[in-house]
Formats: sequence, structure tokens, C-alpha cells
Amino acid sequence: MASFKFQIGVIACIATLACSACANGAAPEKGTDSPDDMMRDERGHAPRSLSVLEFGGANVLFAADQQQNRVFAFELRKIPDNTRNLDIAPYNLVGFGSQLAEYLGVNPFAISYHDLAVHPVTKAAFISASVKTEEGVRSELIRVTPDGAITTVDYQKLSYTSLALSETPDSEVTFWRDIPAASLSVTDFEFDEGVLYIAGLSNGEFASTLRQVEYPFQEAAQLTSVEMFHTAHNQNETRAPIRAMAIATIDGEKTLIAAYTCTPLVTIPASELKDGAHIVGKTIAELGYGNTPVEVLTVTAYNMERQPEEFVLVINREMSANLIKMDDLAKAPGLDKAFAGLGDTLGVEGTHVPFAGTLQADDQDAQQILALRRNIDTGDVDLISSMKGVYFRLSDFVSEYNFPDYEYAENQKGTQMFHNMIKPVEGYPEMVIK
Amino acid sequence: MPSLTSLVILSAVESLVASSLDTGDCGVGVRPTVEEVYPTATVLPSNLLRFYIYFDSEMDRHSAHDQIVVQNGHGDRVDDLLLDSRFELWSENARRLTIVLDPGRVKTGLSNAQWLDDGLQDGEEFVLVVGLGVSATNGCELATEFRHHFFVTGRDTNIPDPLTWNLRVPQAESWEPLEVELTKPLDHLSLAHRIRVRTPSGQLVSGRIEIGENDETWRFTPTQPWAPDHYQLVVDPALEDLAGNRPTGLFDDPTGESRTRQASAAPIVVSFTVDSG
Repeated sequence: MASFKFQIGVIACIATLACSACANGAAPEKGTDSPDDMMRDERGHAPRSLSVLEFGGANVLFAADQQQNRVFAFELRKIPDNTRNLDIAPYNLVGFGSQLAEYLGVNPFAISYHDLAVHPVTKAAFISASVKTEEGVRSELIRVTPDGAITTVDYQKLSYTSLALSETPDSEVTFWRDIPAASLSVTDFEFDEGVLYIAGLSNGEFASTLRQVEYPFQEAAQLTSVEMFHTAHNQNETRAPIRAMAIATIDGEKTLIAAYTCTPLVTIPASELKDGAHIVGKTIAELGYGNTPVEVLTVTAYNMERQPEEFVLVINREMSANLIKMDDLAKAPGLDKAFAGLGDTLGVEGTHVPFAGTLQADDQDAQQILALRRNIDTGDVDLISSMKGVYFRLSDFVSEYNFPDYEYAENQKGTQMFHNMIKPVEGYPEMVIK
Repeated sequence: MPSLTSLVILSAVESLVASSLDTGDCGVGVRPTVEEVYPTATVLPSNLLRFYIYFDSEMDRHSAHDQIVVQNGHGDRVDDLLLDSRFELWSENARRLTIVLDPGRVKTGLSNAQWLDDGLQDGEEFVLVVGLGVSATNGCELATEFRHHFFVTGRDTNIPDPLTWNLRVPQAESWEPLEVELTKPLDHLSLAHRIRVRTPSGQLVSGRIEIGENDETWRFTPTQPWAPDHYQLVVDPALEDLAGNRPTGLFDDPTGESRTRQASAAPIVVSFTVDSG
């Protein structure tokens, strides 16, 4: 369990959330994203399978279509970007997977979860998933609110534009056999100041592990591609794909923080991302081999001095998540010595926080991170919020505090206060011990 | 009365029908099969970057996970060798599956020797196995497990250099192919998409590309006969060999010295002259 001191340090920030949750309950918010009338892509493309998701402000949802090697930009109902949603509510949807399966009328094992994105204003969770039925595999875009209300978004009827991610083979040449062109399977999106960054893994080559394009997509939108290397030690360079990434401002400079498939954490100044450029990123950490990064998030949380502090959170599939102070990341020198051996880590490692079983995660709001998590006890999939600064859920643990006859000692009043604040947030107001 | 031959045929037909019935709608001819595996060479570098598996049917894009493994000579699965991709890397027509070997396993300077012991070792034989669970969009799975044997040699740390290729230039007025000896096997997608023939004015010459045994030869037969002229073999610098090495540098470069040419979008041009003979 996280250190007690650390917990106390964040009580101030939790208190706000707890009160908000108490006052409003888990209030469902309005269906502000319901689709408008259908308007076809002027280029005649229709979305078929949605995977990686990213909001481009309040009114645009980007989705990768792996089947067609395209990026679709869905236009949602207009909400001003500066709209404030006061109904900040935690997601405590334990057993969400079964509820979704019931809603869709399928077996829970028929659902493959692809990505999770939180609407920046309404805080509704959008989930892309493939659902296997007797008729075949269908792609669903699911909208969930903290009260557990599930709806499917009829994305075919939204207005959208799209962009091809594959090369168009020239028609002047034929081949000895059917050779489909190489295309990019998107591994992550980031949207920042009108530019969509697209990290991908090619089914032909690693030609462009990172591409960028301006949104709105222009008639002849040009994808600029960048050849990315990372260094492990000395001048060792490997041209590997980015698995997850985030954009942050470090020392006043917009910087891409990328987690590669063989788990180095690399920083690249965004100003270097020019078309055709050959970039060697600065490897600031080797987070360990035998691991796949699931998500890189930038997080603002309150430190022990109750001051907001910037962090980078790398959520991993095999290993615990790494929480790295942005200041440490900014000061980190590039790694200059060989990797020591299996299981070792190097560089800025930060602290380890528990996000085991996370399938997908996204920044929810100022105080919470939302995660789709495989529950190791039930095997189900939970949709749950974790508090920034705490990074764990009290209700995940059964300890002596849970016994009915347990009494907090005088020197544990701080712990009691913390528990009493977090219990309602996680959906257990009846367990508060006054 | 039927002859013995027709009895045999009838019996064969009956067994076909029976097997078809036994397996629902997935009888012979309905089940998908593996058509080809690239690289076609059976001797491969230990830093091999990927396999491509071609199927004869449109496949289920979610069925290959965990069905494709590499086994060593003892029949044991080689763990953590293949990249565990979040999405299966199917081509747009869902007939080609790309299997990437984990770059974390291929690169140097990351792992210790103990770890590498379990990878693709020089001098050993391995088998790429495509399991029965891989299925087509019609729901039918492979009829038999597909096994592709290969031997492994040392790391390929040579940059593919178009300027060292040997060209066999045809005579003018002929439809003979331009034949290019590549000096080593190259990635078949690169051979299809990264090499073109152009006229001196830069115009693309239309024709048909074929590749020779072990993906070591590139042949180009023009649609129109060759003119007595100076042509250009134009190579995209993103061309790769089996280990992902490019003319612009190695996939994994321990020293950074392999970047002999700065990675620019400028193509590499090999000029050749078609004589009137």
C-alpha cells in the first residue's frame, strides 16, 4: 500500500472530490454527444472498425480504423471547449465487462477492448471494442457515464472526415503475386494545438513510426513522417516503433515523451519533428525488458506541500506503473552506459504505483485517472477511477481496517480521515466510521 | 454395374462429403490455407525482423493471436520472440499477416547473454508454426497446422547497398527482363514497392516485377520493349533487408557509424544503358 505520509499529503485535493461526489451522487450527465444527422465523408469512406481513440477538443473524436488503415475524425455535438462540467464523479463500475456484455447481448469473452478516451468536458468514457458474434466481428463505440449508463454510439451516422494511412501503390507496375501495400497500424494518438500525432507499427516496415497531420484534414492532407531512433547506450540506435506517447512542456519546450516497444522512455523536442527528419531521441530511462507500455499520461497531482506538481505516469502491462516527476524527467541526462542485464532498469525510474491489470487508461479530470482494468479476482473488466496523488483504490485491499470491531487508535486519526474520505468516492459511503 | 475405378472415386467422394459434414460448412476447399511465407529463404539471419504469412482467403483479423509461435529444434516454443502487438498486423485485404520479431529481442546492448540464449541462435533450426485456430472470415479454421522450417545464421549487419548490385541489362527492342542480383535476400515488400525503373526524364517505366529464389534477385519485364537509352534504377532509401537494415543505416546500430548517408528522402539512383546491340 502507498505510504501513509503520501496519502495525507493529498487529502486536501481528495476532499474536494469527495464532497463533490457526496453532494451530487454519481450523477449521470446529459447525453451531450448524441449523434447529429448523418453526413457522409466527401471521399466516400465509411468507418468499419475503430481502435485507438483520442479527443481533439470537446467536439472531435479521432479513431483509427485498422481495417481500412484510415483515421476518422468524428464531429460530435458542439460544446464549447471552455465549458466546465461540475458533476465530477468517480467511476466505480466493478464488473462493467459483464454489464456491457449483457447490454450487447453477448458473452463477456466476446468483447475485445481496444481503447478508452474520456470526453474532455462531459467526462463520459468512450470505449472502442470488437464484439464477436455468430455473424462475425463488429466494431462498437460505447459511451459510459459514471452511473453505469451504457449506450452505443452510432458512429456511422456522425459527421466525419478521414485520412488514409497507407501508401497508394502505383498502377504502372504489377507484381509476381498479390502484394498489398504496407500500411500503418496505429498504436497511439496525441492531439496538441491542432496537430494529430500518429504513432504506429507498420505491417510492412518501420518506415514511419511517427506521423503528424494538421486537423481539420485538408483536401490533400499531407502526413509528414519522421524516422525515429532511440539510443540504449552510447550511440546505439534502434529504429523501433512507439507504443504509447504523451506531449508535455518541459523547460518551456513542447516535448514528445514516447515509450517504445522495448520499454525505453525517450524524449524528443516537438520542434525536431519535421518531415523526413531522422531523429535520435534522448533515452532517459530503460524501464525494464519483458514489458509493454500501455499508456503514457501527464498528470498534475498535489505533493506533500499541497502544491500542484507535474508527473509522467507510464502504465505498463507486465510491470507496475512508473510515476516520474516532470522535473526529474527534464533534468535527466541521456543514458550513457550499457544496459546491465535482464530485469534491471536504468535512468529516471520514479516511483512504482499499482496499476496492475490495466487494459487501457486515460486522464479523467483534474483529480482522477480512468482505467479499464482486468479484475484478477473475478476475471471481469472494471471501469474505475483512481485518484491522482494516491494511485490506488482502497477497496482493492482487505486489511485489518475492514474488520467490524476494528477501532482506529488515537495516532491513526489521519488514516481514519483518509479512509473516510476515500470510501464514499469509491462507492462505499456506508463504510465510513465516524 | 460400376467398375472398380468408379467405386474408388465414389468412395473418395463419399469420404469428402462425410468430412465436409463432420466439420459443418468447413469442408475441403472451404478451409483457409497458407499460400506462402516470406522470407522464402530457409537460411535466415538471427536478427530477422519479420515474417509475412499469405493466406488464400480473407481472414479473421482477431484469430491469429497466440496461434503463431516459433519452435526450436526440440519442439519447444521460443518465448518472447514475437512482438505482442495490440492489433494483429493484417493487410487491408486481410490475406497477409505480418509477424514482427520483438525489436527488444533483436537489438543489441539491451539484454544480457542469458536472455539471448533463448532467441534465434546461430546454427540452429527453428520452425514457424501457424496453429489451427487461425480462421477465415467464413469462420473456418486451417485444415492442418502449417509448419515452416528455417535455419539461422549470424547477425546481418551489412547495409544493403544498391551501388553494389549486379545488373544484367537487356538488349534494346527486346522484352527481356532487367535482372538485378541483390547480393543478399531483401524484404519482399521492399522489392515490390521500393525499386522502380525510370527513363532519363524521370518517367516511370511500366512493367512487371518478379523476384527470384530466396528473394535475392529482382527482375523487371517492361510492358513496352526497351529503347536504346539511358535508364535509371531508382531505389527508395526506405528499402530494407530481412533484418530491417536500409541503405541509410542499420536497423540496430551499436555505434551510429552505419549512417553513411544522412537519412534523406532522396532516392538512390543506379544508371544503366540499354544498347541497341
